[in-house]
Amino acid sequence: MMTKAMKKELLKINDLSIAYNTPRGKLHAVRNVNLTVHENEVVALIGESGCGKTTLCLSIVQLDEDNAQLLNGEINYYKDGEVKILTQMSERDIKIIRWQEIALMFQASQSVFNPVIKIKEHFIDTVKAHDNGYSRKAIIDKSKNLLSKMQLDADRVLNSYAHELSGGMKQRALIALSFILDPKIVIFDEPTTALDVLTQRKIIDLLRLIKEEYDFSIIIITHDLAIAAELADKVATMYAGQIVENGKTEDIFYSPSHPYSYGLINAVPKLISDKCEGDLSSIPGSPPDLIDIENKCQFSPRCNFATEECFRDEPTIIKVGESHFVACYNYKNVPPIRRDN
Amino acid sequence: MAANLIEISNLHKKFGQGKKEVWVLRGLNFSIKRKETFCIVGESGCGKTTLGRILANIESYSKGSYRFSGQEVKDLTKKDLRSFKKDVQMIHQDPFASLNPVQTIFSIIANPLKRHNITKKYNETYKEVSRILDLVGLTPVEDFLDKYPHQLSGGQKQRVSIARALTLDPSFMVVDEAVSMIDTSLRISILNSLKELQMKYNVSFFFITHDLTIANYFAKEGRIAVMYLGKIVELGETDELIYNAKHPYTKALIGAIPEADPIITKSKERFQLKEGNIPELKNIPSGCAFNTRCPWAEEPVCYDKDPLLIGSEEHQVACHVVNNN
Repeated sequence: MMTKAMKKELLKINDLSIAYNTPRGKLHAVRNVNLTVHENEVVALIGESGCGKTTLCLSIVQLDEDNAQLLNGEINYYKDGEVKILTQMSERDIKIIRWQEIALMFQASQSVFNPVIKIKEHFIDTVKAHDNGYSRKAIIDKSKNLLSKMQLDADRVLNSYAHELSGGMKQRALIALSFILDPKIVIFDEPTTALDVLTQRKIIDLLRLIKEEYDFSIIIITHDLAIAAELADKVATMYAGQIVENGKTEDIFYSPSHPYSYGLINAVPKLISDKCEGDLSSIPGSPPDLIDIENKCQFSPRCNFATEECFRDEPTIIKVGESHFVACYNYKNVPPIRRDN
Repeated sequence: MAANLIEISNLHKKFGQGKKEVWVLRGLNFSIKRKETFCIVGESGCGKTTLGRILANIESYSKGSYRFSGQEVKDLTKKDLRSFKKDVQMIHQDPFASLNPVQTIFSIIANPLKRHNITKKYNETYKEVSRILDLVGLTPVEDFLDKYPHQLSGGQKQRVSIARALTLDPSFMVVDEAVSMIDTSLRISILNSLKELQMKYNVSFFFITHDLTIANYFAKEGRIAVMYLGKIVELGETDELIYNAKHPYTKALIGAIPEADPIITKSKERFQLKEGNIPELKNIPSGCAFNTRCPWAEEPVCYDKDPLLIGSEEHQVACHVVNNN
C-alpha cells in the first residue's frame, strides 16, 4: 500500500471498446477504456449497475458473453519482461493465464461451488486443470495453509460440502481457492455484497492481511463506495461504459474532479461524523441507453455543472494532477468534498 | 384513541411443529407512536422481516399481544380487518418481484382505490392515480400510466410500490429494505420522498434494514432497535444509540461498518467479538443468546438468565453486564 518506488506495470488496458450485439443494435458496454494496474496495487472500479464494470473485467480473462464483440483496443499483461496480449490469445493459451496469473471471483460467489463434491475436490481440480505436477498431498497442504490464513478450520472446510458452510465461510473458502495458484492479479466482483456487516468486516480485514503477506494486485468491482474507501489504492469511476475519472483513492474521495464522482460521494450517508445530513443528495435522472450514443458528454443531462460545450462534444480523459485523470470540461468547477473533522 | 399507534408486548412467533419447532421471535416489547419512524436493524435471519410481516398482518403471531390503535389484531372482526388493511401498508424488499408484470402502472395504483370504494367513476380514479404518481415523483404522469413494470428502472419501480402503498392513505407503513436493491445514487432520493410523505400525511414507519447507516439517516428523528436472534438487544433514540451504544453487539456493528471516507474508515474504532458464527435458531444458547460471541460474558449470570430490555424511555439495553454497572 505504501511502497511507491518503482512500481512495475502489470496489466494495461489500451483504448478498449466492447459492444454486445443485441436485437436492437450494438450495445456499447465498454467505450475507449484505458486502465493500468501496477504490481501490488488495489484498483477499485465504481459505478452504477449497467455501467460496464463487469464487462470490462470479464474481458480481462476473455470470458465475455457470446454476443460480445471487441471493437478496438487491447489488453496487455506483463510477465517477466514479456508482453502478452490477452485480447489476441488463443483459447488454449488464455486457459493457462486464467487462474494461474489472473483469477476472477464472480459476483454471487455463494453459488460457485459445485454442491455435490467436497470443497477439497474444488482445490484439487483447480490445480490439476493447470497440470503443474503437484501431488494430491501437496495440494491439500497448500489449501490447508491458505484456508487457515483465512481463519477457517481447514480440515473441516475441506471435508465439507458447500451447503454445510455459512455464506461468510464459503466466501472465505473461495478467496483461498482463488489464491491456490499464486495469481498475480485477483479480480473480485462485488466481494462482500449479500454478506452481513460483521462477516463483511471479517472479509475486508482478511483481504488486507493476506495482501500484506503476498505480492499480488487486486481489481475490485463494487457499487459500494465504502468498500473502495476501505481497500483501494486507486479508484476508477465508470459511467456509461467509460472511465470518467481515475486517481488515487484520497484524491477521488476528497477532491473529485468529475461531477459524477462528486455526486456519488455526496449520495452516500455516513454513520459516524455526519451530523449535517442536508448535504446529501441523489443524482437525478438515469444513465443513457448505450445503444444510441450521441456525441456529447454522456453525463451532461444529469450534471449540475454542464455547460453548452458538454452537449456538443464528448470530452476525452485528460491529466489534471499527479496520476489523476478526468473526462470533463468543467472539472475545475467541481468543489472539494467538505469534511467534518 | 390510544397514545401509541402500535403496542407490542411479549410477542412470540414460531415456525414449524413439534421437533421442527423454531422460535424466530422470542418475546418482543415495544411501542410505536403516531408519526414516529421506528427502524429495526439486524443481520440476516434475526427475524426482522418476520416481525414486519406480523405488523402488516401477513403473518400471524403465536403468543403475546399486538395492539393496533388499541385493538388486538388477532381479534379483529371481518369489518375491522378491512379498515386495518386500509390503514397498514407494506412496501416489499424487491421492487422487481412485488409488482404484477401483466398490469399497467395505472391498474396497479387504481385497483386498491376501486377495491375500497374510494373512487367510483373512471374520471375520479384517473385523477387520484395521477395525483399519487405525481406525489412520488413519477412525472410527467402520462408517460407512466400505460407502462408495464418491466419498462421501468429499479428506482421507478420502487416509487410505484410506494405509490401503491399510499393509495389508501395509510397511517402505518412497513418498509422492508426499500433501498437495498436500488443504486447508491438514487437511494437518498427514495428515502427523502418517504420522509416528505411522512411529514405530509402523518404516517408512522416501521423501517427494516440491515444497514445501520441507512437507519441512521432515515430515522434521524426516530428510534432504532437492534435485533439479535429474535430479540431486541438495544433500543434507543437514533443519535443516542449511535453515539452512545451500550450493547456489545451494537458496538461491534457500528465499528464494523465501512464508511465511504478512506481516512475515517481506516481509523475507526473496532469492537472485537469472540470468534464464531451466529448460533442457529434451533439451538439458541441458554441465558443471554449473545454469550457465544460476547467478549464481556460473565459467569454465571450471562449463561443462566436471559437479560431483560431495561432502561430509560430514550435508551434501553438487554445486557446483564451493562445493566448491573
